[in-house]
Amino acid sequence: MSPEGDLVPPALQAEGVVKQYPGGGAPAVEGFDVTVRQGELFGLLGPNGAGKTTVISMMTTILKPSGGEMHLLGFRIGSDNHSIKKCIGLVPQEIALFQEMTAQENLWFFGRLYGLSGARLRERIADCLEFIGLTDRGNQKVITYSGGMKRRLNLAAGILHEPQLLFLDEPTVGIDAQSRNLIMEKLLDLNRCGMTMVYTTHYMEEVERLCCRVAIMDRGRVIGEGSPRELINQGGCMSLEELFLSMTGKRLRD
Amino acid sequence: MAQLLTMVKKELLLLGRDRGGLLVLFAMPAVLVLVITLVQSNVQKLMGVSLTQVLLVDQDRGGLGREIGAKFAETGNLEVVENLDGHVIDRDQAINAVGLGRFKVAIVIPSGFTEVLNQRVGESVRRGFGEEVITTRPPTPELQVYYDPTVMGGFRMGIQNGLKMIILGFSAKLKMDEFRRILPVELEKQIQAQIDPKFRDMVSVPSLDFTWDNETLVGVTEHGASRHGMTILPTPVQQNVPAWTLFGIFFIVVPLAGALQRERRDGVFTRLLAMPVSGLTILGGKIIAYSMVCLGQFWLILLIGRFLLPALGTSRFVLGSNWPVAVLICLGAAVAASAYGLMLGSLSRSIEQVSMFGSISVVLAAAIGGIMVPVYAMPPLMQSLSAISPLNWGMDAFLDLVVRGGNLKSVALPVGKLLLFAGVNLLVAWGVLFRNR
Repeated sequence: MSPEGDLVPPALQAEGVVKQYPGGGAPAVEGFDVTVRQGELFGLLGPNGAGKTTVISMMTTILKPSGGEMHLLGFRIGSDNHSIKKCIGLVPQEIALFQEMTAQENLWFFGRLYGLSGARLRERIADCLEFIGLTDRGNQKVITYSGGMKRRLNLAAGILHEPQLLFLDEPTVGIDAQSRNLIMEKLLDLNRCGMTMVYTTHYMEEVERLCCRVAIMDRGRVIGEGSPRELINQGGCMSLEELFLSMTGKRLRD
Repeated sequence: MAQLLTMVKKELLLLGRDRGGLLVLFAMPAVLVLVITLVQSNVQKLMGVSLTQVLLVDQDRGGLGREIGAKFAETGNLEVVENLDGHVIDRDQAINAVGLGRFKVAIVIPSGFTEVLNQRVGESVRRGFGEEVITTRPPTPELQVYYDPTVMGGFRMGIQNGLKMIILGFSAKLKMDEFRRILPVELEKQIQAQIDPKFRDMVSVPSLDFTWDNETLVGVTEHGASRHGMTILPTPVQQNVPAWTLFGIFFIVVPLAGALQRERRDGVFTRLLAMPVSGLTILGGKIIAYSMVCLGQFWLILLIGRFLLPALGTSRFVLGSNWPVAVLICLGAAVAASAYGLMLGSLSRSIEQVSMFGSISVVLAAAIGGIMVPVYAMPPLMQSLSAISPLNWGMDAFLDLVVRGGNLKSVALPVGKLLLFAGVNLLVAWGVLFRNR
């Protein structure tokens, strides 16, 4: 039940969101308007420095917006942060794990902080390890894992508590094709089970495969929004990558 | 509470697997307290504060050697040795032993020393009674003292002054003996010369029995100015055990700030910020876990001071019955160090910065705080600077407890300063990690 009664609120609604870093010159994000419906797998695309990570950080309550309004699952960001944090999950760009702890210990730690305990926690740890194919390696230290295994465990730590809304910030960077394929399959499984996702990546084929809608960002603003097919057709392009380059330019972004 | 315990357990788990961190936290202060205390005990020997053996070559055998042996033994710090490897030592062997550093000092009483002294004393006393004395002018007797070049000035001065006092006393005794022997004879002579012969038998000279030469009229005793009847004198052990405990406690800054910096670098901190866990829990978990480690350091170094150091020849560390106050001081220092580590971890941009700045700042704070050299031995400027070092506050509290016999009330101010320091550091860390976003 949502806090607003029978109406199902959007999973995420952002209106005129601005983020200005202190002493940072131009705003990192300006006039950001996006709505993500519940059950959607929503892609956020943009070149380096477009503001994707800043937006994800504001959506996950890590950063405070300098202006505008954001609502997640009916809760207002800023005043209902604790409630929001219980309902969301984050898979950060970095391998946000304790390298000297085993996979099981990492999941135990994050699960306890989400309020899981006892048999329920043990069950979720076992399920998550099986979900990412690390059941047999669960008692090994993370530092001994390959890049792909670490990425999969990074995902497991974000879904351990079965969040309603999952944020994934470039979750497949720097891994082998097999691990990437497994992660994408698992994300689709989770989405089919009703988990809403906001996904940022630089890989266009991932977006085309996973996302039902995307927003393309550049210089802190949304410059295009719709399903990948709609956007490609509107732009008269052959692929999402061609559209992306036509919208954001071919100049290098560092 | 469950979240806080989870944070504490995680910190302890990670620390337990960080061999480098454990070495820094436990092995380093343990080795430092052992080495520094043993070195300082040796320095005390050089300064004559602890028992030092003094070689004595008594070629004279006239009583002065026995007097030196007895007086040195009375000090409790000096022991006269006349035999080496089962043989009576001669002058050359003694000089060689001191030259090799086996002994710090050798005293040679040349043969005929007492005889010449007696001759001079006799002449001196007889001259006092107006007798015309023909002085034979033998060479002035000289006591020869040889020092190891490493012996410190204070010790040399102490030995020199001690020997002068002993010779003065010995000479006075000889003079008194001579005086006691001559006085009745001279009196008799004077009486016989000045009284009518009819009355001479009616006047007798009283027999003299001077026993004041060994009589002590004024005593000098040594006391520590402690309160509550505590009689512990400052020793290297009483100074070093708390000093290196504090140093070890403050060195948790390096692994703690490093752990925080690593969490920030690896994105774990970002993940924590997106989780339903408060900043107080995140910081509190670290402070509690590292404070537990500090208590472990405290007990380890305490045990070294109680058992290992005495086994290696130093005095025993005495804490007295105030150990709960010592634990309180330890916790105050632990919270201050943890908070400083959190501030450092929040302000730094890399683990290299943390390692370098953390180590340097703690070593500097220890140096000016009286950990390595007591504050009273510093120049006035450094003494003023020491007042700003948190290690000095901790040291002040510990010394107040273990040397001056302080109590909870007397350590409240330095512990309060430590907690205030912790509060300021935590506010800065909080602002950087949670507010400035």
